[in-house]
Amino acid sequence: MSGMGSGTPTAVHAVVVAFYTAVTHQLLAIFALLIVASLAWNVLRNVQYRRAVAQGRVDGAPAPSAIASEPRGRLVLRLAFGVLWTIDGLLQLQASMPLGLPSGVFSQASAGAPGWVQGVVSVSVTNWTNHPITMAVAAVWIQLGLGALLLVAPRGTASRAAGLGSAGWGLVVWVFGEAFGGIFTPGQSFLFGAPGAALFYVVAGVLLFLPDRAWCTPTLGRRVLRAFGCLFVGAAALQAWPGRRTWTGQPTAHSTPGLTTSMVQQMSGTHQPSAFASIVRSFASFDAAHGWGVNLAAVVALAALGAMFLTGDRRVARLGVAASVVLCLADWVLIQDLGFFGGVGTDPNSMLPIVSLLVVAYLALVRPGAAPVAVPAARPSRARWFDERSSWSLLQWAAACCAGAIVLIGAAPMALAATNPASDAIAAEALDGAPVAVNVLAPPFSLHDQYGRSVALADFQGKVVVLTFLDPVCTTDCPLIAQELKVTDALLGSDAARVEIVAIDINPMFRSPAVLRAFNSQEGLSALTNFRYLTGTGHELQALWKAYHVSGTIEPGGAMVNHANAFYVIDRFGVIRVGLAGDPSPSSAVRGSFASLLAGQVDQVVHQ
Amino acid sequence: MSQLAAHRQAGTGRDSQSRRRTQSFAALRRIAALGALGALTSVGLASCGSPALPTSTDSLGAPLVAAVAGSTGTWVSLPAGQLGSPATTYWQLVHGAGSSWRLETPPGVATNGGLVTSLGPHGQLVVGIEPSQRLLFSPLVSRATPTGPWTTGAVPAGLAAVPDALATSSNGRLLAIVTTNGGEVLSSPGGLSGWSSVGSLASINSQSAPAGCMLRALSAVAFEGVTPIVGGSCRSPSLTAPIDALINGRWRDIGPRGNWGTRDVDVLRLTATRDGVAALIEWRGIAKHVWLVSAHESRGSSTWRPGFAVDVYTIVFTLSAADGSSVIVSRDPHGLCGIMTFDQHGVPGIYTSTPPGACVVSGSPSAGYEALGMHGSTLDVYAETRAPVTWRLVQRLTVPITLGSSR
Repeated sequence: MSGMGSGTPTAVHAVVVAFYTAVTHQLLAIFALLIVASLAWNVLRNVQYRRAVAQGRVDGAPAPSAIASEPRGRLVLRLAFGVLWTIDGLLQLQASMPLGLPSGVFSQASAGAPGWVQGVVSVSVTNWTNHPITMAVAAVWIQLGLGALLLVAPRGTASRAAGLGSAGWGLVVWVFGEAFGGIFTPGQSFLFGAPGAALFYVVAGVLLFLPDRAWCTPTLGRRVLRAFGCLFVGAAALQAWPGRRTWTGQPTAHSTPGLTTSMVQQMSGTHQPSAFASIVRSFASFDAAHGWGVNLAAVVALAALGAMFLTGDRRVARLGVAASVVLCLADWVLIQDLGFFGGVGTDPNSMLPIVSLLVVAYLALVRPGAAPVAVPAARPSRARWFDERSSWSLLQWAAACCAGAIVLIGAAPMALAATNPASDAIAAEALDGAPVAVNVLAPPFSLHDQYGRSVALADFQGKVVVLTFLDPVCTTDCPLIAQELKVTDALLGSDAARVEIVAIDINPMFRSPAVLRAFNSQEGLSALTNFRYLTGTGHELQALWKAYHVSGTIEPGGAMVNHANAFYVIDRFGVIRVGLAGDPSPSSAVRGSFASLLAGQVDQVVHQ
Repeated sequence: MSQLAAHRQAGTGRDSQSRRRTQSFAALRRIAALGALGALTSVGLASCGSPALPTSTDSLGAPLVAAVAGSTGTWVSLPAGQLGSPATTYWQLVHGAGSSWRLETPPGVATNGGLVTSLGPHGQLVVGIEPSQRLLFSPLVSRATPTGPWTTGAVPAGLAAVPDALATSSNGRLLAIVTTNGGEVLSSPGGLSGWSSVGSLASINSQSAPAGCMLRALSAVAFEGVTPIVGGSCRSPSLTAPIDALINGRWRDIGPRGNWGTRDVDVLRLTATRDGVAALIEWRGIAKHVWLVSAHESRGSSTWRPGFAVDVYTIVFTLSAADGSSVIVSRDPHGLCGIMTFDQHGVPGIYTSTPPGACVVSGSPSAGYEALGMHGSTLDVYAETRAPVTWRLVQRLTVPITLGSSR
């Protein structure tokens, strides 16, 4: 759900800078596009004028067009969702989006959902974490582009394409971003946003994609209202369902809060202006004290509104829509807390789309569009189509082309990134810091490998060495570092033959080759032909740790050895070229990001 | 089209009234159907979203809080720290000799998974570290004397979480029960490396005599001299308890004979004694009770006698001593712990209750008992005073736990 789980300091500076730099670069490209489009518009106007003069229309006015005006309901729907997509696009510009969205939104949306739902959402988590900048920038332009396209394309193919695009992107967001709107997650409620805001964007997109004739009878409005009637009745039943903690507030300060109280309390903790927080906190207190009554009111209101929409009667529907607008706006403010606070809020949640759709459905019911005029037997020629355009219409056409191009500016890199399993290095660089250029002779060593064979640094002359320090009985970081080394080796491809990956034991106690072999076997490192895990006597290792500015400190009381994680890239002449710090993440995508960073550094040294 | 519809609705007379009524009923039916659909959908969603009920699991075998005792003293492994989560639970090894206790937790390795200990005939100690978090194999440490230097090694798989997952022979050979292949016995020729498999659950079941029950799990290992012995858990009807010996390369059933019937029989502890092996056996199934049985095996002949009827889920600690005696501590529903004993001849005795929160016990009826209680990072040691039996705090140790080091 948007806005939840916020407050995590995810706006790591390097990533934020990279994010806004990428946005700025693409913005410049879009400005260039706009300039080209405005030039094209001017050229087309001139051509049109000359053609009109040549055809004897002395004033140069376009030929009269037979296009009917846009139905009122469709107009409202298009503009409302155009504005909503634009707001969503602007929300995607928040600094926390590149690193915060996977953990703050995607993972939270699927928390508690069945395994298959989490599996589906993990695709988006992995993709986003692998390519945080590309994905975050793409989401901005896709949504701003869709919003612009809806706002500027009133009729015809471009407008219907905008509807289709809106439905398609909404579906992607609903499935991969909202985990199916939480409908498979325990403890979800219509009041909190189920069945997901993006689902209403999908519905709106489908409605906009419908041909003009669908808007010319009250049937469309009636069907949409009845669908909402079903939704409201279902929501009432779900809200009334016993055992879901919807009927309790928080009887005592130490008792478990009810579902609604818990949600509102959580939302009130979101970082936001104090006035909004105060309103939500007040409602949380009220709900804590009168949870049963609040839920009864919600159940009765939802059921009554659902029944009103199901009648399909205009007057009843008008009353229902008016009451729904009040209820939804109250829910939006008091329970959903406007939806977009906290740094990773991606949209204003579900109530505004619902209100928009209800109003549109009512307009479609009471003010259907005019019947289309008789279609000419033959399709008009392109020349005639061009001649009939007004200057305003041509401007809209040019703007629609620009908006479509903006969508593509976002969608194309996103699609390409989604097919690239390798992670971008930016996340690791942001979390662990940039690699440090070094130019000192690597301290020599002569130790034993996991099979007891003597190995010295001098043996690797002519090869690039990736050197790190691992504790073979570590329970947390070192197994993850081992996985990073494996991914690094894979990323090096054919260059791996020119690289030796060397780990030196950093546990003062566990130094026997048998323990190193057990670790290698555990992590699948035995399969790497260019991997060596070295050990030696306590004195040898101590001296080497000191030389490489690392240390393994024994902690008492059953704790593991305390050591820093350091990586060195040593060139083929035995000179340290790069130093990296890397605190491995449990997230495979962030580990992949570090592997990309390390592989990139190694690649540079290999090809120096 | 809309005008046509309006014209149709504007009809007059009985037919149109009847049609309107029919349309109203149809509309009502539609509303009811749609409403029911919505309600059913929400009910479906509600049931989809209901969390699954937790399933209960039986706890097999002895708890990992356990001790071994020999001529050099008693070695106790018990958890400390914040016990709610494995990441904040740090198992400690404590050595007691002559009423003096000290921390001997192996250094350089995270003990969040637990510790198992084995005491060799000459007092050499081997400690296995149970896997935890991303560590999947079991590091080992060993020392020849209670204060000697540690040597290190590893079992290339995870040790089973039972107190007698390790055994040491007089010639330095080691046995270990690991969790691979559904339960496997590994043997080391000497030292803490060079492990190889000497039997798995399947191979032991296939080789032991038909009278022996089908093993469900391996729960303890020991050496009788240099002969590997393994105890397990079984449920099948059997005439012998689940104890097998590796003789001439084949596993043979050597468990004490008796009408064990269809009840569950689990070997909790196996201890090498001077003339054989002592076993502490749990025999379940008589009403709600569980019988604790002490068995002795020596040169192919076994004897056993039932001891106590207790609730299996309340056994919180076991101690096995090199002389074949054992101590069991059980906890009642009120949290109070009581001591039960078997002497070296298998004679049972019920002793006394321990101080609150101190459910780890060392000692014997003749020498008196000491009770240990870990509270967070503080270990309290109580000694008993006779006539009347009371307990007094004699030592307090602080465990230097680095909370957060395993997160």
